[in-house]
Amino acid sequence: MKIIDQYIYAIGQKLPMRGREDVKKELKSLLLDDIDAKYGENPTEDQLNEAIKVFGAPGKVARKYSGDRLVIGSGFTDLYFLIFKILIFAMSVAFFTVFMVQLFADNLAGMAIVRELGNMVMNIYNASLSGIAVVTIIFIIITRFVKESKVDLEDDWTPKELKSIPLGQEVESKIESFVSIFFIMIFIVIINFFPQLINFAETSFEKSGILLASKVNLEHFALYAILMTVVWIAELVYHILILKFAVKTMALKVYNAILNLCSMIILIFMVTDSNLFVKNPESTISPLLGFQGIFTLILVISAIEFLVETGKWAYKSLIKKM
Amino acid sequence: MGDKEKIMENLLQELKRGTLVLSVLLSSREASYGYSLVHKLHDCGVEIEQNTLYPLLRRLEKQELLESSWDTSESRPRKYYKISTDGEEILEALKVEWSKMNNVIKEMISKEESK
Repeated sequence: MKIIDQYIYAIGQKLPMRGREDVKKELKSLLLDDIDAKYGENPTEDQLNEAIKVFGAPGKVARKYSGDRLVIGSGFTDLYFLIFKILIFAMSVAFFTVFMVQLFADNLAGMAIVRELGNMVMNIYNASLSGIAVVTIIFIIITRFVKESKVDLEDDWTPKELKSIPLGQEVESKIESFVSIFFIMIFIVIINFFPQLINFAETSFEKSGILLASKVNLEHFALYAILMTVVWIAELVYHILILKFAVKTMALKVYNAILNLCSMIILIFMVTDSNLFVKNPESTISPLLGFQGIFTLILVISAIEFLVETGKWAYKSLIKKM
Repeated sequence: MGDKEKIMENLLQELKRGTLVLSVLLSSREASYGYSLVHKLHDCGVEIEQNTLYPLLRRLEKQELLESSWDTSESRPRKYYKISTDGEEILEALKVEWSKMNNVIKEMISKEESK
């Protein structure tokens, strides 16, 4: 009965090493009992094939003995996907920052920008893929060697934890916070580690033949960079809280309003600080064309946003009271 | 097979699956090998596929509810399973729980039928 041995061998190949020989030995005995009972001691080849067919495909039989073998334990799935998302996000921020630095530092133009953009996308893709592969392997090893019941991530959960969940206006989309975190991180890196990019941008503009009325004094800018970094870190905290709780509580709204106010105050100081901008007497254009103008524009936009948000809040409060 | 029949078949399978361990433990007071156990259960009215029973026997053995031994005295070696001391204890507890559940369901059905 060579076919029986071949069948048992095929099942054995799909069984875990531990206890394999014992299962194979038992299966063979059981199958032969079944064949004996159905077809007697001398079954034909067709009868053997029929008995094997009824017993089931090797993989299916082996799976019944192995149980549900998950690649990543169901208890780890949420954590796995969270790390997955953080990884892609971190890689995007890192390579976008590198791209921005290259854009100004290497004075890129035309097709070079497109090429570097393509490189950036490929780098994000490759680095994310490598990172995901490493994370996946780690989770597979954890699932393989650690019993899920021993690493219950919510084992010590109690209803008391619900008390820390803030209730308020639910955030409709998290994209705004993701995009904000993305750009805030890039801006923090640029103004703290590559502030010279501001002068690169100014020099690049002047290559068009137009002389700027003023340029940013980087030494003086360092003080504002510290202040802006503090506000932006506070903004990062705000967006992380929004992502975590997905609600805009009154406390968060007030916190955000204070941050906007701080940003505006810093911008007012920057725009009106004569030491921050080194004037060029040879220039004939408006002093607002340049970073002084950009800062003014940001200030105006921030002020409009602040007024609109405050107005909306006041209007809603009034409606509620009525 | 229609959707309703499929749902019914799945529900029946789930219902039967819940009683399998109890049926196997009840039928393992005397040492039996896999194939004979299938027939023993069949004679009692419990239909179970060989490929469901055999892995179940090994699982119960791993949980130390059954104990096993190979009989090599005959021409074909056979693995015999018998309920263990731990298995006996679990079986007694399961029987109590089963009776409770049975009474609850009976009560619910009789209430429903008397409406």
